[in-house]
Amino acid sequence: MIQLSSIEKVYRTDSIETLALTGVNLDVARGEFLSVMGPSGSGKSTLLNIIGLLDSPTSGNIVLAGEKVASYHDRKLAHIRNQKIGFVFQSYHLVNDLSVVDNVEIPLIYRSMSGKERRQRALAALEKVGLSARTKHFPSQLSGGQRQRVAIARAIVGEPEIILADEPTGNLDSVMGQEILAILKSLVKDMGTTIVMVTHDEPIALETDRIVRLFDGSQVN
Amino acid sequence: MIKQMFLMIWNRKRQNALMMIGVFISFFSLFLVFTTMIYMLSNYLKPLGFEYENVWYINPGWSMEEKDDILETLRQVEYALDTYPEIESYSFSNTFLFIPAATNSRTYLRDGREVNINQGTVGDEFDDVLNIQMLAGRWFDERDNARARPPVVINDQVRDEFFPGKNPVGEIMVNKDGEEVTVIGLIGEFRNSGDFTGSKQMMFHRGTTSMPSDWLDQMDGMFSRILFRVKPGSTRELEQRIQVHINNIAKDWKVKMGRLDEARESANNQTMVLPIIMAIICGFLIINVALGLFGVIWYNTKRRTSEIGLRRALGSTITYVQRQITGEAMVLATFGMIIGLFFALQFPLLGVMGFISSQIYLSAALLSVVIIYAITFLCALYPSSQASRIEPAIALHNE
Repeated sequence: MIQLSSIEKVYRTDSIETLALTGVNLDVARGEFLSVMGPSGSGKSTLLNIIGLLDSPTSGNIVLAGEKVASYHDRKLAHIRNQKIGFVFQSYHLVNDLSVVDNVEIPLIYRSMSGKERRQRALAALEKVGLSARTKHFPSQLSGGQRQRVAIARAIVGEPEIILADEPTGNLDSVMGQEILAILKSLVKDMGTTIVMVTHDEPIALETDRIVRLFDGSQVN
Repeated sequence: MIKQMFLMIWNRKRQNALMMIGVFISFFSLFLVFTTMIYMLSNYLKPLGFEYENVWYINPGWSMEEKDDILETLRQVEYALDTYPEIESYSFSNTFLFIPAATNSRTYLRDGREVNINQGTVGDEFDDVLNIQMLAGRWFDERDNARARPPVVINDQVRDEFFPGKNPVGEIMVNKDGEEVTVIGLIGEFRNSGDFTGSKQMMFHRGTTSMPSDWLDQMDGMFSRILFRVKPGSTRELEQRIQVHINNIAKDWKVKMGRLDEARESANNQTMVLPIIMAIICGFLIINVALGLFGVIWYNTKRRTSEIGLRRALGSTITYVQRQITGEAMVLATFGMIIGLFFALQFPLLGVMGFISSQIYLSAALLSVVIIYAITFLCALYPSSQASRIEPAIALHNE
């Protein structure tokens, strides 16, 4: 599902070159739940951004769901992000001026779909994460765990093949963290979704299918 | 996408209120300025109703003497003017020509309602001097010497008010004091205040030196004039000769001479002062509002960097981001203008300035809408372009 080969990422300023990733090779199979671990600054988020087509590698190749994306322009990349990838962030990234259900609808407004169908799919996604009773609430009226569940609903509403989760339990207590993990695991089991999750939490990572560790931008075994 | 744009605007109504108020104020100011300008332009494109080229005037400036003495002196002036072959025709007139601020009106009764009509007392040759075209009836002449009721010539504005759809010649009009006059002639437009001023109701009375001196009561020495049409190409030298000649006849009078084309230019300049001041103030206001709009849109865009990054991550293209920022600004501008239009439409609906037609108000409103949209679009262009360059990976870390 995800193939990275010889990925290198260098950030350049006028006088400094920072090597964020080097020689990263990674194959993630369809329906696999992969954790990426490593200390702060090891390149975990950079790797996730590159897989999620939010950032481009300095060199190397990426194949997502069979598509070589290296030469794709903005419109095509946006289309792949919209159709094939769902994102879950540590700080949720909900739009505070929109209600829960409107937040969940966001990925669908970039697809040609009727408003009615959008609403039905958003409500169904919220039901999956157990938030049917909070659809009209605003993010500021929800707890951290509820917000993250909204973010997961937003990630799955478009039924993507891949979900990229950047420390989804990082802002939550252990009980809430387990709840979120359970939801993610059910997505893998029930829908065959491929998940790549960045985490600092070893016990959480141990519950996934595989752990990839990064250190100073390099993969370590 | 459009539905969500409106939702976002509604949910941010407090933050957006300032921008809408700014748009409303600038729209309304623009509306007033454009209404004035379009009104003046439409007047400029209409005929004046008379010709001013090669028409000169003498302001006799007589001091208060015996009316018969004044009349006698005026007769001598007439004889003097007859001696100049360059003068084609001449006439007395107390009609304000190209004096925008001056009016002289009298109230007439129309079905018990009082209507103010601008008045002028003029001579028998007045229509020849100014090349005024008759629409019906005739101008004054000696046949009017023996009339029971004083004759008047009215213009089509008076006809439309008093005798709509009828030929007014032969009709009788009554003023507030019960004095009756007979309409003997109808003329069209007579915009004596200048090119930029509107149509007005006009009524002319007769005054010549062959009549008893009573008509002089209506002639204020300050504003009474002798108008005369000279042959094309007449020079300043002729002007000086005539002035010296009249000075010799009327030694105690403060005689001044001038030309109507120069008076017209001066009147037009005077009329333009107010709209120019309004336009300058409005210009500054628009610059102020444009800067304000730019600032608000820029600030909102910066504040929403994280949201823009999120939308890019979830599938929004660069074009979508640009459309969203510009679209929201345009929608807010629309709301501001809807409030402005509500107040603007009260002008034609309530007839606040009845002399301005609904078409002018609508044109001004339309033009203001176009200008506000253009300003808003330009103000949103740079912030939306900057927003579209936001790297989603960086923006998502900008919490």
